[in-house]
Amino acid sequence: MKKLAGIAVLATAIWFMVELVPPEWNPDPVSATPAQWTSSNQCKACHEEAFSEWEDSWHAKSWIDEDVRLQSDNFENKVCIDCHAPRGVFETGVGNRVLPRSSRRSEGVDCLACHLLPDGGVAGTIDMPSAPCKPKATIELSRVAFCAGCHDQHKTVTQWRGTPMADTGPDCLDCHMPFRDGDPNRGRHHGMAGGHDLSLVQSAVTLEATRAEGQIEVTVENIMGAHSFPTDERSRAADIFWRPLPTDPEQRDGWTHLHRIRDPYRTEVDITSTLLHAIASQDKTGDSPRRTIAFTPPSGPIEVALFYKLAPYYRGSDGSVWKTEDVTDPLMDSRLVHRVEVP
Amino acid sequence: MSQWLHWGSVGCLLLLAACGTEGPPEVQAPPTLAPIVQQRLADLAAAPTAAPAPTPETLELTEGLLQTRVHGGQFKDMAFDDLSAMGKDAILPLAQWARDSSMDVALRQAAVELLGVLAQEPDGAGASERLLGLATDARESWLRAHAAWRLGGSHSDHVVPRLVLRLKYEGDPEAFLWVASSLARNGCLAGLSGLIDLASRADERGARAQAELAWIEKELGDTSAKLLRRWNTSEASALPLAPPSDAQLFEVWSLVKDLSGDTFALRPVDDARYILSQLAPWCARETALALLDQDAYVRLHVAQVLERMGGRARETEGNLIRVLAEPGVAPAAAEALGSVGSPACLVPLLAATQESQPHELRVAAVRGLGDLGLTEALSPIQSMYTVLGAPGPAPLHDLRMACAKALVQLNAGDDAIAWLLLQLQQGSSSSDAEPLVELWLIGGVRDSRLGFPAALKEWQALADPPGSIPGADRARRRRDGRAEKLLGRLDALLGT
Repeated sequence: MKKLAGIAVLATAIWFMVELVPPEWNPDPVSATPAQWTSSNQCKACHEEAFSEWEDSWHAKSWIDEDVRLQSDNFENKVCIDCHAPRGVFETGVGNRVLPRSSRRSEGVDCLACHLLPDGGVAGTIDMPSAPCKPKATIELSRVAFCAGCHDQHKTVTQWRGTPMADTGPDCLDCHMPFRDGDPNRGRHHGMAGGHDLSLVQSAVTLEATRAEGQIEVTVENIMGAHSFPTDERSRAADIFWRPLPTDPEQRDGWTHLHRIRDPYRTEVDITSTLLHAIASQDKTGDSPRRTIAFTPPSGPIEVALFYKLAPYYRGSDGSVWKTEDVTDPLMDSRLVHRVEVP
Repeated sequence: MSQWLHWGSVGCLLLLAACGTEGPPEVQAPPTLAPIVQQRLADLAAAPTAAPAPTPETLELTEGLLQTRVHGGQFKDMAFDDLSAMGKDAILPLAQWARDSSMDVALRQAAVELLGVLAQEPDGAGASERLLGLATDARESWLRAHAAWRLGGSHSDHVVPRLVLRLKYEGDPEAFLWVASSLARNGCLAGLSGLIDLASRADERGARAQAELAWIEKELGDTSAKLLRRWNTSEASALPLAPPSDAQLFEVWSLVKDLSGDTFALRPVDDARYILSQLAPWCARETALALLDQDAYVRLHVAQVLERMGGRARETEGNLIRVLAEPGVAPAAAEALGSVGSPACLVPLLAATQESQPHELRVAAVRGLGDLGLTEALSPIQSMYTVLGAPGPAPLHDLRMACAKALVQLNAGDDAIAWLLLQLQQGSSSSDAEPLVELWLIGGVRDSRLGFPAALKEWQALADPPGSIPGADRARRRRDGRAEKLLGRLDALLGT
């Protein structure tokens, strides 16, 4: 009886709330600050250009990218969630390890992950109290430490800090978030170009090949010098292939694998890291930005090429997986970075 | 009207609980925090694993005795006794000879055997520690296997947490077998499912795994299949497993300390989460204390540990409910409650879905309710799902997706399937929607619903071949194809 009376009282109270107190409703999303930030889509109306750049970026795909889904076992490997759907950097603290969030995971590394402040405010480059989101100028947004919570998990920021660039620049934003059209007045590009940007990869590394005493010496060098090449473990890789110079310039196959540049994942205990380091090490490890690989091919002109990979495996158009040493057409799942001919 | 229905049903459930004996359902004031980890570590002590440094004399003596032990004919047993009598002085020399790849394999095996004997002594922690080192980082797999086997007879359970980590990284099946076996002999069944897999092989290794399983079954008084089921549920608390020593508790709290914000790298954090979540129910009770630690990272990660323990952490649900009032850990606690799972979690989780709660918590709480799987949650979630279909002041797509998942889990996926198929055809949610649609189809087959077997067969026919890795374009085509086929059957499947 007591329970029934309680239910009746509660039902009446709910009816009053629903009927007499209208829900918060803002028909014009531009005119007021949202009561609660629940999605980066709330930023779109005002920040169309930045939103569009981000939407096409790999930050936006960090939860839905097929390779990420595969390598994280559909995020059953939950350690991946921390960086692929992180809580706000300002919430966990700039430079601190990030923490995973429970909501809006499909938005990946989104507007709120970088710009939302712990008090519900929004970090920006200038103070603008008249704007709906009332951005506050927050210099930490441009600090290297800001990226570190995620990107130093694979030592990228540590690598950069070990180079002279830590004193002189450039830093993360200079290369990966440049000003639009080089104009500071236009703000920074939110596409966050990285390994997916072929021109950036091409500018980071060189490839040379020479013939001497019947041998071919192939030299690959990290000339960008801000961090190792590639600067990721597990996923990113670069492969050097060679083949006899084909008579048909359209020919795709005939390549032979020569060398892989990659940092293995933690479970790959039998594989040695072959990253090209940003600077020569001062210890006995022999780490160097420059590496020469010698081999003896059959006589005749050959070509040597460096291919960049976003995932460590090669897959055909039908999804079939190839062993690297069996691959004869690396372009089926990589991008050509540099190619040199050796007469 | 739909909002009225939703909040009315939530309110009724909350009120019923309030009238009962479960206490007030509303989220309480944030609990008081304290330096729990620091206090526990101060109360406990590490195992005394130090051993005298080897001298040229002890190295020479142990090598000579090992040679005699292996090749000494009638003097073999005497050499064994002499090595044993060296006690702690022999520990580091034996470990050194065991690792020396230039030595005879038989001599190295004898060194491991002797370490195993020393590990059985009451003060054998130092020998156990060196065996653990060999079991975890020796290059040769036979050496790792041998060391892990010898750890099974060790009386020093402080090695258990670090041995658990080998289950994650050990690639050699023989070494894995002995890691799993030694863990079981030290009160941890984390490797039991792997042992059962190995026992199914029709070879010598399968026979060895079967023998280990027979020992475990005899000790614990149940079949291995039942033991595995009990280990993964709240029944684990009733298993006759040895309680941990203070030295093992110290190891556990050292791992909890690794979860803190002072640790920058995710790897040690993830390793610690893995280890802790694989231990026996006592570990859940122990680590749950850290839900009230001052370090926000510790609180959140401990909630994740309990989530991963599932039913084995059932006894901690009171701790988890308490921290629903602490904003930093509340979402992780809500998800953990869904996994830990008892009816007592229903009301606190429903309270956490209220509109007044932070969005992050609401999403996590709905997810928790889906995992909890209690039909009492169905009506509120159905109502919430419906309400969220209407335009509102804020985009709540992720909350609606959480509701859709919960509906599928609660066997009411019919309500959400049309929307899920729409998501399947769109970019941002398609990878989350696809497994839910499949789960709905599997549920329909399980319930013998008309048309579901054929629909599931058609769905599975569009799967990528085993071992293949689809690229984005191929995945898109697969999802579009599946959505198209299923949409063609949807009316018939729903009986509309």
